[in-house]
Order: sequence, then C-alpha cells, then structure tokens
Amino acid sequence: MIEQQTRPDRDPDDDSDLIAALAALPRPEAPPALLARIVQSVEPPAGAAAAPPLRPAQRLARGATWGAVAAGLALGLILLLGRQAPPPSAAPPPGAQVAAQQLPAAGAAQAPLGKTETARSARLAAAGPVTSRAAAGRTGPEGQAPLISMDRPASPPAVAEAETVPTVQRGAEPEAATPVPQPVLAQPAVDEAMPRLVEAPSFGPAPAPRPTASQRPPMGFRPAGN
Amino acid sequence: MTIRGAGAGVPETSESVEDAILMRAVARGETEPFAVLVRRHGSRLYRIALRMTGDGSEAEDIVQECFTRLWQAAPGWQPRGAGLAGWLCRVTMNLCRDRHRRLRIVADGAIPERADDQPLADRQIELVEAQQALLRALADLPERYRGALVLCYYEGLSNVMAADILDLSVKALESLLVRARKQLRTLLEREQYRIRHVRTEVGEEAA
Repeated sequence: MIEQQTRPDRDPDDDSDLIAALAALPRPEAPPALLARIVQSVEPPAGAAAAPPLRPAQRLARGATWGAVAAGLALGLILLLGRQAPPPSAAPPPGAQVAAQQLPAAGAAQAPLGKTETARSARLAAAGPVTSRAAAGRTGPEGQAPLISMDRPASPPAVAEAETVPTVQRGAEPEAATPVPQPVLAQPAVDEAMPRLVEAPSFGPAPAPRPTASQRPPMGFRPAGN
Repeated sequence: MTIRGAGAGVPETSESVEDAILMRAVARGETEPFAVLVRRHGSRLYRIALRMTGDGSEAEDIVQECFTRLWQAAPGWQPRGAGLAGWLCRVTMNLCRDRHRRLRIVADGAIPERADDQPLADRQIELVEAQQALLRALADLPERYRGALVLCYYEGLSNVMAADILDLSVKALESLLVRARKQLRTLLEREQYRIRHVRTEVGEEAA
C-alpha cells in the first residue's frame, strides 16, 4: 500500500497516501481490564462511611492516650481525696501525740479541732491569771501576741512544733495554775534520727608514743646487736 | 468528537456538553459519571499513548495516570478550549513526553497478533510489513512531529483541536504537519529500501 503510494512519479506535494496509511493503522481499544481498574481505583471502598481500620501505630497511640488520661484522672482523684480527708491510719506528728498523752481524757472527746491560734488563745483564756514565770513569758501584755522573755530559755524546736500542732483541743488544760509542761520527748526522736559517730574499732593496745627529738638517738648511732 | 477541518474556534458538541455535565458530577465525588467518561475517552487516550510511546504497558500506565489526574482535578475543572477531550489529550501528550524522556521508544506489537498458526497470505504479510515500517518510521520521528501526525491523521482530530492540545497556533500546526509528513516519507522510503533489501537477500538464499 505505502510502497505503491511512494512511487517516484507521485506528486511531491500530495501526501494523501501517507495520510491514508496513518489513518489505516490498527486502532486498538483500551483493554477492558484497564478501564475497570481505573474506575475501581477511584471508587470508595465498601463501607466507606465507617471509620477506616486503624493501623497498629495508630491503635497504639490511641491506647496510650487513653491510658494516660485514665492515669491522670486516677492520680488527680487520689490527690483530691488525700487533701480533703487524711486517712485515719495516718500517724499524727510526735508533738501531737505528746499533747494527747498529757491531756486528761475527760472532755477531750467532745472538743473539736481548731486552728493553732484559736486553740492557743482558748487555752490561755481557760488557764486564768498567769502565775508562773514561764507562762508570763509566753503571754504578751494585754493579751497581745505572746512574748518570749530573755531569761527564759527558748523552747526547743520540737516543743514549738508541739504547740502549733492543729490537734490541740479546746478546754483540755487540766489546771489553770499549772504551767503547761514542756514536752521534750520529741528531741530524742530527732537524736535517734541523727547519725551517730561510731568509734573506731580497736586493734590491740595503743602504740607507744613516738619519741621526741630529744629522746631519739643521734644520727648515725646504731645500737649494738643490730 | 469534533471532526478535522473545523473553524477558528473549537465547536461545542453534544459530547463536550455532556462531558461538562458529567464532570460536575465527578466533582461531587460520583463514580458512575467518572466511569462513563473513562469508557468514552479511554480508548482514544490509549491509542494516542500507544502511538506515542510504542509500548502497550506504558500506554496503560499513562491512561490510568491521566484519569487519576482527571479525578483529582475534577473539583476545579472548568470547560474551555477543546473541552474535556482536549484536556485529556493534552494531559496524555504531556505524560507521554515525560515518559519519553526516560524511556527509549520501542515500536512494538501494534500489529494484531495472528489468531492461529495458519500462514498469512502474501498480501497480509505485505500489509503487516508496511504497517510495521510505518510504525518504525513514526517512532523515529521527533516527538513534536509524531504528536501532530498522531493527533491529526491517526486520531482524526481537527487542526484547531490539535493545535489547542499541542499549545500551538493553527498556522504553526499546519507548518509542523508539512515538515512531519516530509520527514516521515524520508524515513519510510528508507524503511522500504531496507525491506526490499531483506526480501532480495532471502530470495537469493532460497534460490
């Protein structure tokens, strides 16, 4: 066909044979599988409305997030409960124990808890006139803030800690004229907690003291027999 | 589809109007109109890609990529110029150009395979040889020449539409077609000389 149309005697400007040959080339159709594949490639998968399945990494991240949230809630709940109501099994401070031991049991059960300043002023009011020198040093003029006289030794920190314990009970003073005993039981606790020096173990009798310069033999002297 | 020899502008056909309507549905994510467009334009795009690349599997990849881009570009697609058919042909040509930069064109089995083992008649053999020679010559053409010939003479698109697809003026396309035909004929005569030479050698050996 083309061979015949490309003869040398043809019109050089006539390319109709070439055009016809190009138009006569096979015209294959697109494979049906290709067209189906193209259509399927854009079709939403079945159940597209539902959430796609999570990949393992996404599942792990989501689980970790919920775990962190649950742990935070549990921790916050524990802290909240711990602040509002201390557990009954919690041991009071040592100073509070001392005060409770020295107070009489009568009337102590009905006494509600109060703050430190309130408890102290109530206790001082119940004690009546100050008669002791120690109590005078603890009470300021005209009922103001308590003063500490210079001739009175300052209470040890453990005692001060015992006076500021909020478990002081109203009306628990046994006798007004009796000065408040100064508990000193807290100090041994501190001492016990303090590290103690351990004596170095002895290894036999102590060595003899080194001779002084005057006791040493002169240089070059060698005792006989050595 | 518009026919070659159209006027200055790309005429609007019923098919192009339907394409625009279908594209609005595709933009909404409907797959059935998309399937209609695939069936309507798929074969033409496949043939163009096949003639441009000379590789069937490459042509399939190009067609699939072209429709994938159509799906992605559907929300912002606006009908203009050569319409959806021109847009698809332009994308296909660009994809072929991109592939051609990486792959060497191999003229292959565009000729239908034999249905059975019966020997072909001489006429059929000559026809097949002539088509293979034409395909080889087409594959040896520069890409711009090949594209113009495929669009205008093989697919029968109008010069206006082909010019729009190739981003040329109609005058430039006509000039391009003249040069392309001239070079194709030169390559074809060379191919036919080779065919005749091979035939002569085979005949002498048989004698």
